[in-house]
Amino acid sequence: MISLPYLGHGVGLRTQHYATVLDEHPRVDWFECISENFMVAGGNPRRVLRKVRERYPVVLHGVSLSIGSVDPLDPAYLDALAALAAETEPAWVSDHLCWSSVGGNFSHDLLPLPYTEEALAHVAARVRQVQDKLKRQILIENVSSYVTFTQSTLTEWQFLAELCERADCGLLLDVNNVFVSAFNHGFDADEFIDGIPVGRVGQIHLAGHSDYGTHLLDTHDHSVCDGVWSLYRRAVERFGRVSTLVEWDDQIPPFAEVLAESHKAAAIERAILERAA
Amino acid sequence: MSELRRTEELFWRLISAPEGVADGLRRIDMKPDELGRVVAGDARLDAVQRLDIYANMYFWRLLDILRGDYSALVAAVGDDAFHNLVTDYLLACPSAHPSVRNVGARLADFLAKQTLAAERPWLVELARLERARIELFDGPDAEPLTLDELRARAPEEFATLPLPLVPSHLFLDVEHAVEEAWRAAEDEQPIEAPAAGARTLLVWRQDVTVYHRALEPLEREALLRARDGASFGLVCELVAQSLPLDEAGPAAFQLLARWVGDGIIARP
Repeated sequence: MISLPYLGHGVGLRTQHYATVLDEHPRVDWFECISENFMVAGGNPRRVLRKVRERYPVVLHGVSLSIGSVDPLDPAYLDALAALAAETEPAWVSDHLCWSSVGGNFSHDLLPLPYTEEALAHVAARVRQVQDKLKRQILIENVSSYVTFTQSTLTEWQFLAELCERADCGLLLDVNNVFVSAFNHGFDADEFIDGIPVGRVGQIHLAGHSDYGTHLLDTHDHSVCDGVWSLYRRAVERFGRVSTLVEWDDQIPPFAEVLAESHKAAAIERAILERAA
Repeated sequence: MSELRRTEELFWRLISAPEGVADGLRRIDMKPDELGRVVAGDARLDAVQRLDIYANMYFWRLLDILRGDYSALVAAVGDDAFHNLVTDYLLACPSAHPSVRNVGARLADFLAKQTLAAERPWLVELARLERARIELFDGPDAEPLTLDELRARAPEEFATLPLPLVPSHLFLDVEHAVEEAWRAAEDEQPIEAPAAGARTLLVWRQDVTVYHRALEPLEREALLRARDGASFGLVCELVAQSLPLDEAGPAAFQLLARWVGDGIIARP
């Protein structure tokens, strides 16, 4: 099981909104910060993070841990992440179920893994290694994907559920990624949600994507679509109250627009939980 | 070799090929139907098309980042030439660091070996200036000495006053006035070949803003001495070797005031 505080409804901290956040102190429950953007020696990124942290709860969300890579975990990267976490005291630390590098070459993308016993054992051992280093449980996020490996013997949700058991980690359930991958691979998104163990979801992501006809692309440049809101309702019904965050990384609108999406998520969650009570 | 390793290495080779996955398959002499035994296609998209989604994201994301990091260089060479430069660069120098901030760290060195730079060598210097500014943007912090702190010192303390430079600084030796090309790009003006002429650019960060400027030879020498541990008294002696005695003192104090005002001197 994963035991994390409920932070409410947050927003991703992006450079375009630094001035608004620092000058106007908008009413936001918490911020998610991309770890690598702040794993630097000093300057404006660290200054902003310190100031944001003075007023808001913060979580660290990584994109370069490369937990599924066959390359060894990078000790310098882990040291820098541990130092940032020690200084920032985030409510939790997360990264993705993917690999980003091989042979020392970095793609800077969230590349998909085959869902095999070999990959599961490999990733579980590395998650444990990271958790030992950080001295905390971490959350692992499901990614959007565009390929299916013929060698896969497990579904993605089976892989994630088993990973939680073996590594004793939590999940960052990206509802938009479930929606995108379900379309791209032709599986039932509801079946994915129902296959995720209830006690392991520590955070939920929502985002927008782009429809290319043949496939959906996880672009984070739109508002959340109706289909993803519907899936979010199902997730709240299954997992209950879970800290939720709206991601918006491209064509970023004014802060108020992102915040409005976050408020919409809060209203949906509230309505479902009141109905259930 | 494990199946997972084989899968990741194949995936990487195919998505990082310069002209897409079909090109990548040709380079490793693999047929598309062989790829189909690793990656499943369907009626909507075959295996090559599915992998091409990743290949496109890989290239266009990094091109976009490099365009932002080297906006003056883009303005100087144009979009098409920069696109071709990045295609060759990523093939020769794939990213070797977890942070995307470092993707362009080797671009200036790579550019130095290209025809583009043989024709216009100042482009390499412009790229080095842009990279220096990125390095210093999030370099180490230090408390700068302030003018008020300087004024509060007793006159007899100045001779022995140490002048450590803030850590987020560097000296960039160039052969052209590339700071003018950078300014033109910043002002969205046409970029002309900068005048030849050896100079040293001081690049530094004050608070959260990165600055650069060309140094006069005497100031360059004085700052290098300060960086290497010389006190203000020794800097005054250096200035006195180049100027009449009655001008040397005021000139040295002018330099000190400028350095402190610019936030170049760290609090000792």
